[in-house]
Amino acid sequence: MISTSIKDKWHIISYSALAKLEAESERTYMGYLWWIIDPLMMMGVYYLIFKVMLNRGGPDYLHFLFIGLLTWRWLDTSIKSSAQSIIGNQGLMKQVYLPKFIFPLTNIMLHTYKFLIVFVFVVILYLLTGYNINIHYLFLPIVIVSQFTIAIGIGFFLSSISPFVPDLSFIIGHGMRIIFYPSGILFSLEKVPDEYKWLIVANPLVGLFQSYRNIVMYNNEPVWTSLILSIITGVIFGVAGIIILNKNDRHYPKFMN
Amino acid sequence: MKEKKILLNIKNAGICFKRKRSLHRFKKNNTFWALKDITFDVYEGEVLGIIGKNGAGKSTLLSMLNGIIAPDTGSFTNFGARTSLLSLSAGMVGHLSGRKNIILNGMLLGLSKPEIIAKIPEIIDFSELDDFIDEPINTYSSGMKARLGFSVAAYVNPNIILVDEVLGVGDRSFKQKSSKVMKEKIKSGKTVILVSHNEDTIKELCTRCVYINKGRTEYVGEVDQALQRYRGK
Repeated sequence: MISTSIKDKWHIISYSALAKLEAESERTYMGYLWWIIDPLMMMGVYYLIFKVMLNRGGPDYLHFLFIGLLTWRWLDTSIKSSAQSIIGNQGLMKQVYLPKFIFPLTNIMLHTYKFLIVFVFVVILYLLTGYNINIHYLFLPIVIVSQFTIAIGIGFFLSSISPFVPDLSFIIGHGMRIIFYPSGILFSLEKVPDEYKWLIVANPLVGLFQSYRNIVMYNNEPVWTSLILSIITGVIFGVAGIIILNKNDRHYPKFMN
Repeated sequence: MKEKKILLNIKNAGICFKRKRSLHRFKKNNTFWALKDITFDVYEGEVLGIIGKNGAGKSTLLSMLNGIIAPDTGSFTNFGARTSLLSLSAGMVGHLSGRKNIILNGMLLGLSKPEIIAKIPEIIDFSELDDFIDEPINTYSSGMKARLGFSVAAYVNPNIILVDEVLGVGDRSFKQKSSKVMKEKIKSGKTVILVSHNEDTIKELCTRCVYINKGRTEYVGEVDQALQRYRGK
């Protein structure tokens, strides 16, 4: 029959996400090791610039930085790759009909699997280097789900409009960088002057990334308002994205030549 | 005589492509109608030929029949038939083994995961890839890839098989084999839509034929009649 069941679609998504991860690791000598080396190197660069050269950051800056960068990368790669997913799969799209949400979701799942595995290692690393497991770890799944929701929402939305506006691929890269700096990943935003404080409150990502630190490093609760805002933002963009994807389901192949 | 069951209904269908606007390309007419007025039905069990010159809209029509593109005008109705192209080249992942590509491709073509896993031994056997099946497919020759793609598609068993141009893939012996399998399928009462500009293929295999010209159906019916009109243009 034309419409396969939800289960079949889920099989396609998870199988091709895992297949792409496997293929990706086959391409390099160090394979899966890159999952952990890559964020470590990224941290090395920022640590060198901010701590060593500029002498900024607090006493536990290494830990502060690493969990921020790791969680940021999950969001960054998910959004960027899902934004390109419809355009990137045009060859396949022209040979077989598939509901279009499969493409962004596959890419997001790929980065989510990767993140979850690395995250477990990193938490163990934090526990081994002086931080204690605490009751607030129970909230960790909620933080992860909040981030997943905002990633999937924005990813769906961008993927749904990018075939019409191919120039978007240039903008998204810069846009993500603009979001990166004021999200409190590289340094704590406590010293921001009062007149700009509203910017931090309005940006759900600040509290989202802070929530991971609160739990793993400071034995504290997540920033609930930011989590709720992340989920709301994700749902709004996600619903808009799904509507556009469905409306153009059998028209996208025409826009790509 | 038993009433034939309609699987697909195409009525006055038109498909319009919009060329992308760009700052350094000012052109008023940005639309192109690949299909203008297409009308015909597809019945269960028939082998329907679609003939027409290059640029007549055959590929776009095939995309519509396959459910990939919806018409902008008129209508296209599928009464529950699973359609599939015979041989899929996209959707293969280069660094992945042939075996995993079979699973992935089978699912993309509409089989459930257990269904395709059950068919793996037959597919490997048919593809003649033997030991290569667990090697990554970017080590394959293009002929081997084509064999793999065809073998998966041959075992998927859709309600309607869509065939574009060429019968048979791969080297000479596999070409004969795949072409034989296709002809068997075609003659076994499967519903097949065969798009071609090769008159001999259409004449040999088809029970009915649609002739399209410049995005319009010019004739639907007898194979001989359709070919005559095609030649006349």
